[in-house]
Parts: sequence; structure tokens; C-alpha cells
Amino acid sequence: MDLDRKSFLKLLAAGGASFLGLGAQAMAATAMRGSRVKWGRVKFRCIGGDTDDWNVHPHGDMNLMDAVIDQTTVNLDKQWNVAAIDKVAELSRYPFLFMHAELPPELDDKARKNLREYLLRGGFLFAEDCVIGKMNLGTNPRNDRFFLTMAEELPRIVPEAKFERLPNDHPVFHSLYHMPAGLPHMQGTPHGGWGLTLRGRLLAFLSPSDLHCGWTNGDQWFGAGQQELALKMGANLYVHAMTQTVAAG
Amino acid sequence: MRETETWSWMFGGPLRELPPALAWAALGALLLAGAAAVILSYRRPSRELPAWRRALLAGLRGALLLGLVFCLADPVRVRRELLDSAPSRPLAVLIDRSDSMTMKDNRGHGRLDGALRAWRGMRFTADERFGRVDYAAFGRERAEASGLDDALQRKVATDQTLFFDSLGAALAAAPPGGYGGIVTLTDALDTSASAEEGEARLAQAAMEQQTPLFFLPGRNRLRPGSGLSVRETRVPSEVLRRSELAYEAVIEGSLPEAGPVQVTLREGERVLASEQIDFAEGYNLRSWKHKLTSGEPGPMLLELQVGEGGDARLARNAVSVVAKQKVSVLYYQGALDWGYRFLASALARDPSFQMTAVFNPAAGVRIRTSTGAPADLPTTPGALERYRVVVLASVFAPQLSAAQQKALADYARAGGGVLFICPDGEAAREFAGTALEEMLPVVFQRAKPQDARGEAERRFQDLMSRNRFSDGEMESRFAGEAEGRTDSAPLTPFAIPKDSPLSSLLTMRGKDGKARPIVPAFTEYAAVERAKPAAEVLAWTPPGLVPEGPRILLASQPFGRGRVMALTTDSLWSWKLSLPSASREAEIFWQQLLLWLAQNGGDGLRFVEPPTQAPLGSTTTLAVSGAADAVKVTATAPDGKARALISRPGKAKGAWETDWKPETEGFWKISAATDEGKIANAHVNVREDSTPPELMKTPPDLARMQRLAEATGGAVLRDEPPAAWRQTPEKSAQVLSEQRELLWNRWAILLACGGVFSAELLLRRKWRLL
Repeated sequence: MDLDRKSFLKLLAAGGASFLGLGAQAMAATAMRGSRVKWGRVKFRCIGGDTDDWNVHPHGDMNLMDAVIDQTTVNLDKQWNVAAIDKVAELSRYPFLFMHAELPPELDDKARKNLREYLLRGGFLFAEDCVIGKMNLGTNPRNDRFFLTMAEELPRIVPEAKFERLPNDHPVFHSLYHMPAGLPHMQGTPHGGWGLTLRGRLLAFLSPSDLHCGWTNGDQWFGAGQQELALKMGANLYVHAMTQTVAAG
Repeated sequence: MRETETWSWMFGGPLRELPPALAWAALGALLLAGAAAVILSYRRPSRELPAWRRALLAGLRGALLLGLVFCLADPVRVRRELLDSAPSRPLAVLIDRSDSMTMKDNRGHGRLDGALRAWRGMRFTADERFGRVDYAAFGRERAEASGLDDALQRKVATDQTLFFDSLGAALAAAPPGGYGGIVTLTDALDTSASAEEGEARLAQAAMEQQTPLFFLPGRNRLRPGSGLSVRETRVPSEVLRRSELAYEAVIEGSLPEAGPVQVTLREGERVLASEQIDFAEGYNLRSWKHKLTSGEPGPMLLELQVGEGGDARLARNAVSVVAKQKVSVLYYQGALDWGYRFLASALARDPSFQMTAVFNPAAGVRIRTSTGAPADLPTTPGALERYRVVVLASVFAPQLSAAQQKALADYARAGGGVLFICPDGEAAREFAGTALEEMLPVVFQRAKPQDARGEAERRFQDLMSRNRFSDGEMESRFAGEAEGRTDSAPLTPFAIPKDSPLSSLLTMRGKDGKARPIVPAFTEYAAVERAKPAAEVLAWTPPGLVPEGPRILLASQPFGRGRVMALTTDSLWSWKLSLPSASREAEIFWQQLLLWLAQNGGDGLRFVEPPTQAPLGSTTTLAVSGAADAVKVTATAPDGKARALISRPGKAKGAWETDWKPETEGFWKISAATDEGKIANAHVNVREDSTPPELMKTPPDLARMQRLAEATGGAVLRDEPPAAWRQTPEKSAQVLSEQRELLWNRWAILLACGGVFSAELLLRRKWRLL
């Protein structure tokens, strides 16, 4: 499905789907949705004992949720929820979890074990570097501390999985919208999108590019075009996580 | 709307308060007295007049008197505007021409004769009441006719009675608005389908169209025959080793007195089940079920014996036990749902399952599916036949074309398994009136609208979106409130009845080696109003969860030779996500559920309702379906001699028929095979004394007629039409408006009275009476 920018932004402004071409067919009967599913944001500790960096810009998540609801037939509940990393039962309420901060996470063994269990049960983790968040530290000119830390943690959490930079032709960049240039980049260091894959299933996606800020106030911070790309990539991630075909295991 | 004109009389003056009869009597008395006075007054006039002049004057005075009395009676012309009752719906009359209806008794009368006589007595009332009467005859098939005589002469196959199908077809062929009633001249014996589900479906279809069913029972003096037969058996043609399967049989029998009937199921010499079923005096139709476990791979020949000694009847079935079973599943996703991936994962671990996923093209997603996957749900049953099970997840009626829906229905009727996953009850109600709706084993309630984003959350989102910079404090406060929120949709376990087929399928061995049940859990479900009459409820919500009582979570119903299941929750992905990663419970649940659903399917080739017994020396027609090209049919006699039979194309695509005339008694094996290697077998017991069901002199099933009539607002008729038919539409018409016009004060009437009076006066003057 390819939209021009004008149509896409009109869609977001109206909160409806009537301007879409192919999508209108699916969304015209907005009652035709699957089972209800909730959005979850991971609560975790960051370096230095920080317990407040994880919840930066919740309305960015809400903007993406609105986009997913408008652009697909996913029956995503409009509520923003929290899943504590030290409670696997909480993590397991959400098939898609978003983990986001400016500061690098500080994961203990329990947190790693819970994340591993969650991923092996079938959950999907989208982890992203906030680059410039609440702390607004800017101490690292590259502003990729979260990314670098998670890039070490993920292979440690599921060592039998493959952790690699995903090529631009990976299905995650084409599941709903075509993103021929790969991961859109808002700010930070363009390491590209990295995936943790086990037996053909993408368990986790790690991004350094702060798509979340694009969802948040992207039109003001990066321009309407960038915001559109960020929301499209977010929708791609969600749909890919939901529909990726699994190889026989 | 129409107008009518009638006359009425309004008495005035002192007569107004009197009852009409008294008022008329008073006027009559006045008229008589006046007439007498007129006659007397001209009997001896003051001058001699010829008789004719006296008569003329008396006549004129009498006319004036009459006019005065007429005005006293106060005639009124009444114009009414009537609302016609809805144009009367036509009536359908079905004539059962099967052998059981035409078989003669000792007086030479068939059952149809008596029913016809009664119908002829009431047909004119029916013509008047309904205006239009559609006739049809039925036996093994239904044929429409132009009138009663045509229905009695039209050619139909009479060796079987498709009672339920024929009435169902009449309802389906009804004109817009449906029939105002269906009258069936019949003995209500159905020699083809399972009685219970056919009756329930027919009643439901008639009630939905608000068409009452009337019956004219066919009766005569035919004494009921006695004997037993196995009408139908049902068992999967292929099962996995060491798995549970169900053996079902329909046993028919007429007994001179009530008593037990022995039923024994064997595999070779080994008795698998032995019990007695109580039969009532007269005609009985009983279904019998038994669960058994398959052994090691190989053929499993089952023999059912009903009765004992010389009266015993036998039926045989061959089941192929395999080590591995290929179950091909077509998964169609209507709306995007997490269930797909979790179900795909559950099946991916077992190579027996091959899942082909198709996403509704309107969803716009691009996913890697298996090679050869169709772009959309197929529109022909032939394209579906390669799958044992079709899963429709979050599918909504508007997404599927009429051709796709019909293909699914035909596929299930032919033996396919269909699983509806319907988490949205409101959308499931959209199926009403479609081919898919008939398949669903449940009727859904209206759903509550989903909660939109909370007010506080929306305000937060709006506020934050307007700010160029973030407000960390506000965000932290918001997150804290979200953290404190309790889970509004906790996982709740299914309640699976102990006698549910699922209870024995859903078990697994714990580490201690003991079997323990697998209990799925759900978060949300679509509320079901009721299960359909033929449906079996496999799982409920636990007691106490819903104040109004447990809700249906999983239900199944037979559909033709197949089975259709409805799961009113999502695909249980939330349950899977809650289980430890090493747990296989969710996998076992889905694998067992789909295996159970796939039981009646096969590789597509099967005998259609094969007889369990056949008469010696008579030709029996066998039907095979699922073969694109010609099928080779072989009949093997009890002595092992095989004979090839000639097959010819049947009516439907992929259907073939063959005629077979057995010359020896005993069990014959009929095999059908295609060039692709598909095989189907049927075992038929040939007996010299085997009587086709139509000729078993089974008494009319009056109880069935009564049940259907009561359920639909009809009646079992005798010699009189229903009272409601005698009420003409005019009597029940509603008056919209009424206009009354007094006539006595019309100038024409006054002029006439004045003229008569003047004429008399002038003549009296002329003839010198004045």
C-alpha cells in the first residue's frame, strides 16, 4: 500500500480512513476488526538507578496506536499500559512491547530472564533509543547509548538467536508500506535497524533512529514528511510482528 | 388501500333511541296502518269513481306514505376507506409421492389416497384464502408442478424420501415475503438424513420465515412391518494411531412390542462395545455412539451387530490407522489478528500439519506465505477439497462473496471441517441471511461498543501534542497513573464438560507420568444468544463469571457430512503468551482440535451416504464424490470375486454414480479409486430379506408432524381447514376513514314526494273529489 504524503496526513488529521485507496476497503467497515489487543510500554531501570526515563513521551505511543488503528484492521485498544520488566506475567499480557529511553538500560539477571522468557513465549520487543529524551543530556555526541547497550544485551538474552543489521529488503520494511531506504532516521546515529531472529522469527527489533520522537511531535521537530515516515515504519513493525510467517521449528 | 360503499339506516326522532328491530317494527306498523287508511279512504269516495281511478289515487297517496316512512328511516350512504391487509402470502402444497405413501394396504388404498381426499375437501377454502397455491411433488427429489393434477403425475424418484430436504427446498424457493403456509401430504418418514438435525433445521428455517407448517397425514391400514436395520454409520476413514475416534450409527426398527435391542461393536473377534437399547413398540429411530481408541497403524475393520440371531443386522466400516496424518489447513484471516502467528507457531512444530495462510486482500499486508497459496479464499468447493480443515479467523460476511460462501458450505457438506474464530459478536451477526450463517452452530448477541480512549488520556495526548517541548513531570505523573491500573481482562479458564469430546482429547502427561487436563484460558469473548438445536457445546465460561449463567465459548455442529465449529474467543494467543515457553499445552490444544475437526474429511474421494444393506437381486445406485475424472468402481463379493462396475457422471461436479446388482448374500466391499491413487471403500450387507426403508411399512411419524406444526404455528389437519383460513381478508381489513351521507334531505326525494302529493291533489280536483 503506497500513500502520498498529503493523503497520509489528511488521514491522520481526520482520524479516519476514507481517503485511503486500498486501505479504505479494509477500513471502510470499521467494525471488521480482529480480537482486541493492548499496547504495552516496558518499565525498566536505567543507568544510575534512574526509574523515570523509561516513560518518555507516552503520547508518542498513542499517536502510533491511532495510526495503526486507522491504517489497518488491528483491533488495538486505545489505552496506554505499563509492563514492568521484573514481572514476566505483566510482560506477557502484550504481544508487542515498546522499550524506549535516552539513558542506557540497567538490566539485572531477573530482567534478562524475563525478557528471554517473554520472547520465547512468542512476544515481540521493539526497543529504541530516545536519543534526546527527558534527561536531554547530550553527553554522548552520538546519542546512541541506549542502542549500544541493548545491542549487547539482546544477543546475551537469547544467545541462540542471530543478531544482525537487517537489510533494506527485509520483510519488516515492506510489510504494510514499502520503505526501500530501510529504517527512517529522525535523529541520533544511523546504525540502521537491527533484528534478533530465531528460527526465522524476528523476536526483537532495535532502532537507534528515534522513530518515537517522529511519532510524538515529529511534524514540529523533524517536519511532516519525517513524521509520516516514522508512523509508517511503526505500523510496519507492528504488522510484521503480527503476521510474520514462522518456519517449521 | 381500497374504497367500499355500503348502506346504513339511522332512525331519527322518537325512533332514535329504539333498537333497530323495534324501530323497523314501528315503521312497518305505521306503513301498514297508513296503507289501510289509504285503502279505506278511497273505498267509498264522496263521488262515484271507476275502480281504476280510485286505485290510481290510492296508489299516489300510498307512494307519498311510503316516501314519508322512508325519510323517517333516515337512509345514509356510507363510504369507507379500508386498509387492505398485507397481500396474502401464497400457500405451498407438497405431495409426498414416495413408495411408502403409495404402497397399498389390504383394501387397495395407499396413504396418499386418504390425504388427497382430505385436501380436495379444503383446497377451495385455501384458494380463496391465499389466492395462489404452489404445488410440488417429492420423493428422492422435489419437482415443482403447475397444479394438483400435475403434482400427482409428475415424474419423481420414489425409492427414497427426502422429507426434510424437500420442505427445506420449498422454504428456500419461497417468493419474497415467504409462504403463508406449507401443507404437506405425507407420512413424515425421512429415509435419508439424520432425523434430529433435519427436524431442528427445518423448524428453525420455517420460524425464521414465519411460515407455519401444516400436515395432512397419510394413513391407511398397512400393518407396520417388524425388523431392524442400520440406516447409517459414521466413522472417520483415517485416524492417527492411538487416538480416540467416535463411532456413530443410526438404528431403525419396528417392533411388535417394547423391549431391549442388543447392539454390539466388534473389531474382528474382539468386542469393543456391547449394550442394550430400549425400543418402544412400533417404529423407532435411535442414534448410538461409542468412543474407541485406534491401535497401531493398519486397517481397522469394525462390525456393528444390531439384534440377535436370525433378526440381527450387520454393518461394516473400514478405518485406516496411520502413523502420521497429513492435515492440510487453510487459514483465512479476515481482519488482522495476533492469533494467526500463534496458531501458525503451534502447528509448525508438528510436520503432520501443513498450514496455508491467506490474508484478506483488503488488509493490504504483504506476508510470506507458502508457495501455491491462493490469493484469496477459493470460490469453488473443488479448490477447497485439498484441505482437511478451513479456519476462518475474524472473518466478516461482507468480506466474502456469495460464491466463496457457497463454496465453503458445499465443502463442509462434503465432509470438510470448518472452524470459525469469531471474537466479535456484532460482526458475526452480519452473517444473518447468508450461507455462512446456516453453518454457524451458534447465534450471537449484539455486542457492546468498545471503549474509546479515556477522557483523561485523550486530554493528555492533545495537550502534549500541542506543546513543542515535553513536560517530564506531567509524563511521569501520567505513567504513574497508568502503572496503578488493574488488569481489566484477566485470563479465565474454559469450563469443559466431562462428557465433551474435548475432555478426552485435551490431556497431556506431566513429569510424574500422570495425565492431566489441558485447560485453555481466554480474556474476552463474543456473547452467544444460544446454540442451534443440532449444536454440541464443547466449552463454557466458568460458573459464576457471568451473572446470567455460563456463556458458550466453543460449539460444534455436524453440517452435511462435515463439521463446523465456532470459537467465540480470539485464537487464544493471550493464553499461549501466559504459558511458560517450554509448555506445549497450546500446541496440543490446537493440534487436537484441528485433528478432531478433520476427521470426516479425507483426500476428497468418498461414497455419498452409502447404504449399510442392500436387497439381493435388486439394483442399488451408489454415489461417489470428490473425483475430478472418471472413477473406477469395483464390487468384491463375499467369496472374493471382484467385478468392475461402470460409473457415469453425477449431477454435481466431481460426482459419479454407479449401479450395482448383487447376486449373492453377505458382505460386499465396494471400492472406488482414481488414477491419482485416491481410494474410498464401503461395505454393504446384502440380504435376501433386506427391505428398502421405503417399503418397511413404517407407520407415519405423527409425533414428528405434531412437533413441527407446533413449533411453527401450524397444525396437523384432518378433514377441515384451519379456522384462520375461513376468515376472508375483508373481514380483517382495517377501516382508515368513513364518510356518511344522509339521503332523506335530498331535493330529489323531496321533489318526488311533492310531485306525488300534487298529482293526487290535481286528480282529486279534476275528478271533483275536492
